Amino acid sequence: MIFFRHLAVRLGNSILLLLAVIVLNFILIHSAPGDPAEVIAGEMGGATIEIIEEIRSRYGLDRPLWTQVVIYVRQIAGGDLGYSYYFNQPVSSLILRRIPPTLLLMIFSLASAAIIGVVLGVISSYAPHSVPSHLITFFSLAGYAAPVFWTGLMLMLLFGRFCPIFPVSGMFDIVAGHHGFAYVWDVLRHLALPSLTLILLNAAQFSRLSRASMLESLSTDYVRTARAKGLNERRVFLVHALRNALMPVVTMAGLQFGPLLGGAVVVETVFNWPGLGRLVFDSILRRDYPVLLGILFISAMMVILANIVTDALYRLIDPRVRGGPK
Amino acid sequence: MTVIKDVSDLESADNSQRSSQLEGTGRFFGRLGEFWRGFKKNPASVIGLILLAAVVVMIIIGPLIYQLDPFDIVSAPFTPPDENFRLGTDYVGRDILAGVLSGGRASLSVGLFAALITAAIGLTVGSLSGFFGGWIDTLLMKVTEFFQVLPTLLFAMVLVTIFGPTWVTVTVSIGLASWMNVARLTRAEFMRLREFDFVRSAVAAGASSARLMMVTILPNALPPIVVAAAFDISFAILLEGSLSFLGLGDPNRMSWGLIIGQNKNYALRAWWTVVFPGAAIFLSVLSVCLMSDGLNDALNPRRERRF
Repeated sequence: MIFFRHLAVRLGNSILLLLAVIVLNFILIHSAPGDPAEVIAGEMGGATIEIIEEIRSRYGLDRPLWTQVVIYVRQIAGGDLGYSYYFNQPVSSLILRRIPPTLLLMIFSLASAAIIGVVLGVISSYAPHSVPSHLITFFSLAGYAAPVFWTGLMLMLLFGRFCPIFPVSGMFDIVAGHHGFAYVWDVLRHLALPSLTLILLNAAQFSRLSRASMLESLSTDYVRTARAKGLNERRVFLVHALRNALMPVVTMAGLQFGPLLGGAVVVETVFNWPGLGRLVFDSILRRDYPVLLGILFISAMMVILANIVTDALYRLIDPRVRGGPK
Repeated sequence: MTVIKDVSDLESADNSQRSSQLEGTGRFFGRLGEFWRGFKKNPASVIGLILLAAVVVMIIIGPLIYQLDPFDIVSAPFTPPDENFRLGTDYVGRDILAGVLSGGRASLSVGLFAALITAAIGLTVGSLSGFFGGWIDTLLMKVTEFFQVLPTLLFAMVLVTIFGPTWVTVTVSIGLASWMNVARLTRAEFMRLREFDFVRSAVAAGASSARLMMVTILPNALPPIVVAAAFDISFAILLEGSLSFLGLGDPNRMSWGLIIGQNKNYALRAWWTVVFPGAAIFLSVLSVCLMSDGLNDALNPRRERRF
């Protein structure tokens, strides 16, 4: 019961946050240099006077500012994110079509990164001062320090020039036109390099976190008790210590969603992956503001959703926080 | 008579005696020596510092010695590295070495100033929130939560697109998009320190809120915040790289991300156009990370390291 009440509070909070994002978008449109109507039209190669007039009346731009806010919020909340004059279609359908490829890339990378990171972190916590442990520390530092677009290009060079087993561009082979299982296999092969790039970036952070968390967990009283009652080391390590050390990893996976989305946008432009990233890149080039603001709104929504899911997951796994709000 | 509770009291009593003997510059060097002893504990931090110094010297002196305009077309496109053009030329025939040398100025200066903005906003929000608590805390934490919902890169990107890509907008956008961690850290430190006896006695002595925050608490809260701010420089350099890679840097300044972004479609044909500028970003970020770890060892000896 408490669980559901908590969920309701979270949902209410999320709706407020989303309203705030809409208001932020409104402020951004109005603080941009130039006439708001022209900002909304975007630099689409000279908006006609009719289009500008239509925007002006639709968004109520000749009315008082607070009326404009209400109109804008109502429009976005109703699912109307505006119209892209460059792509010549509604922003919402434009974005919705690009979300699945990005989500596929993100979820595949996040899951793999978490698994690889935890394995590396556990190995390195087993003997914190050994050579493998130092190597893993170095790997996680390097993974953080390499800019994600550069990592992508380096992988592209490595696999494209010396070891061409993976395609370096796109999401599927257009010429071959695979169907069924062959299609899935084709997409997976195209997924390899973009996701490997994101995995290299994120596995580093997961390994660092799970290493610290394991070391902390290993120094607790319940681990000492487990050892004192004569359990073998493997069981102490993998059952008693690891299970509790995983909690921060779950939190981290949720928190990584926003940064990962940013990383995916960049990686997609490197590998021509047909998701949100390509759309972002094209909209920046065309100064297509409704699309950019729409993407900001949708991505904030996805981050909020990811937070709710993480929170619920956390409460289901950890009995200590199931008791309700602090 | 002083009551000695534990070893750290003994140490500080000893330190205050020692520092009262040292005056002026001697005292300053004494503190610097203490700082250095903490910093050099880990060889990696010293390597980071040397690397960072090398990068900074390279981008300050480099363009003065190697006087080639990074925007000038000096050779055929895609000339591989040879004795004339050590790092080759890009897709229109501009010299990569000149680009790498002068491109660092944009990347590092944006990184430094964006981190300063991050620290300024984060310190203000965090200290007000942690000191006053109550509705101020609730309100400011709601604001912080709101900014955390916006993906950093996407938010900075939208800001730069709307306000136009100049050095100032890029720097301010990165600062605006990434102050939240410093705010949370500052808030936690202020909340922790607020309960200490030295703060209570200052309250009893009638210190104003402003004095309590700036003079009594802030100096004690600074060490972990300084480390976080130093680390944020590395984050800001990476973010600047991504923005200029996407074509959102100042078009009148050469930048490492810009070189890679403009040549990315030809990476397979001319590897040198992307390898070198990226390596420059990598080494800069790496050195800042290692250095901030050293700062951590020197300023917060009891806290655990980031890497």
